Amino acid sequence: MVFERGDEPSFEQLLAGQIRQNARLFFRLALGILHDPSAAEDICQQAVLKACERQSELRDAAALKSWLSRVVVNESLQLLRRRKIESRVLAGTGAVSANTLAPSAAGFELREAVLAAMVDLPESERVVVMLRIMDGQSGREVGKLLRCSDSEISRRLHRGMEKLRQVLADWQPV
Amino acid sequence: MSCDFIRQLLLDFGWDAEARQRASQVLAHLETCSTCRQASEDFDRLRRTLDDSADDSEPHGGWESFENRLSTAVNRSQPARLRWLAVAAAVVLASGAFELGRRLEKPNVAPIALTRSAPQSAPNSHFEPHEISQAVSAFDQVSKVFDGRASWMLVSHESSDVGVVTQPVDSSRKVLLLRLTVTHGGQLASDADLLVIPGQTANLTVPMQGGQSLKYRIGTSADEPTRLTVWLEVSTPHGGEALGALSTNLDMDPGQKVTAGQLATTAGEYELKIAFARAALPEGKP
Repeated sequence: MVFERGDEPSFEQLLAGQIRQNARLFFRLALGILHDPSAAEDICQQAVLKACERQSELRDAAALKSWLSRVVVNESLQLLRRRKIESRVLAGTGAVSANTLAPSAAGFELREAVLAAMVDLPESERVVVMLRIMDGQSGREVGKLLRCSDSEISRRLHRGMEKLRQVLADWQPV
Repeated sequence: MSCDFIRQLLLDFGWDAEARQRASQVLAHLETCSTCRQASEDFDRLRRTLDDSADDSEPHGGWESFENRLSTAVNRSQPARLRWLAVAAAVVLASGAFELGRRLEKPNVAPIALTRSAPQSAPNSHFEPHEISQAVSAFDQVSKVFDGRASWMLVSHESSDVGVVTQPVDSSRKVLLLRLTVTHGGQLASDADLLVIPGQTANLTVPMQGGQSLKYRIGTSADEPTRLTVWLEVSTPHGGEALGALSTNLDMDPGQKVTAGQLATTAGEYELKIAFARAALPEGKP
């Protein structure tokens, strides 16, 4: 993207740049939670539309990337939670057989339990856990993205993972 | 491990003397501290659990198509979106049932306000025949604007929107009409009319006074067009935390009105009522 000297890129240009550079990151984050490519695409689109609504607050590329990553993670976890409740309701009405809702493996159950616990993490910790553990980014990369020091990222990861450990302590496979 | 491999690791990680010393201390500590050893095992397990979720799927249609979709969303949300909504609004205006919001005069103003006249009193609890006729006609016209790709249309006196999918919708010439009425503490908090093609899902947000908003996710079935799955969430101002949510399945008859559920929140109790109708779209290509 070429700008004239002194020109500030417009919000649309910033957002278009983010989409070109980071669409895969946003999609992977959503997919890692939802395991549903269609839903992951929808979540990314929602995040972009939300960014358009908040454009006055998102005036630089770093802030925009960080904000979009957070929205994708949060919206994905919210959708996951909604789907679980809907599944329970459907199962209760007999519209969906219990078999289709039964987790196929203990690993799947545990993953669902851990993701459910992630919903309860403070956002600052949740995003760090997502980016470091699920997306495999280095502490330095995440720090740059979230504009925090390496040590702050380490602290957030530690706090988040300690809370998630509780799931392991409480979790019993069905 | 071979010496070559070890040296490669040393270079890969770029460990300096301090980092090596720290690693040695960590390993020595783990030898003697069962609590930290357990924590280490737990962290590994959590990593594996979350990492197992790695999914190599790509977007339908590939990355380029996905990026185009996101870019299109940007364009749709900007003045171009206003233009197509203005077209749709003009069409809707022609039906005589709606009026265009003032916001359409101002570019870059969100949310888009294609508004229905604010009711002077509580809305009818069911759809009158002339309301069905007007709404279906408006939807048909809006659908034509989008080459038959309109999957749902929301009209309320707070804000309105249209769901557009990538391919023309097989409507089989039928559309479902839902009047979504929410009361809060017995007072009307929101009413909105949704038209949706059976088999489509509508994700929509209706703002309320005080900055709160109602987020709906309404699923329909092409095979069983009287069955609905309804999710409703009441959110705090600025799209913050959800105050509460309800989820239910309904099997409704045309002309029927039901209480879909109550929602107890810290801000009081909300009740959702849904009136249902079904109508045929006008003949002709959508």
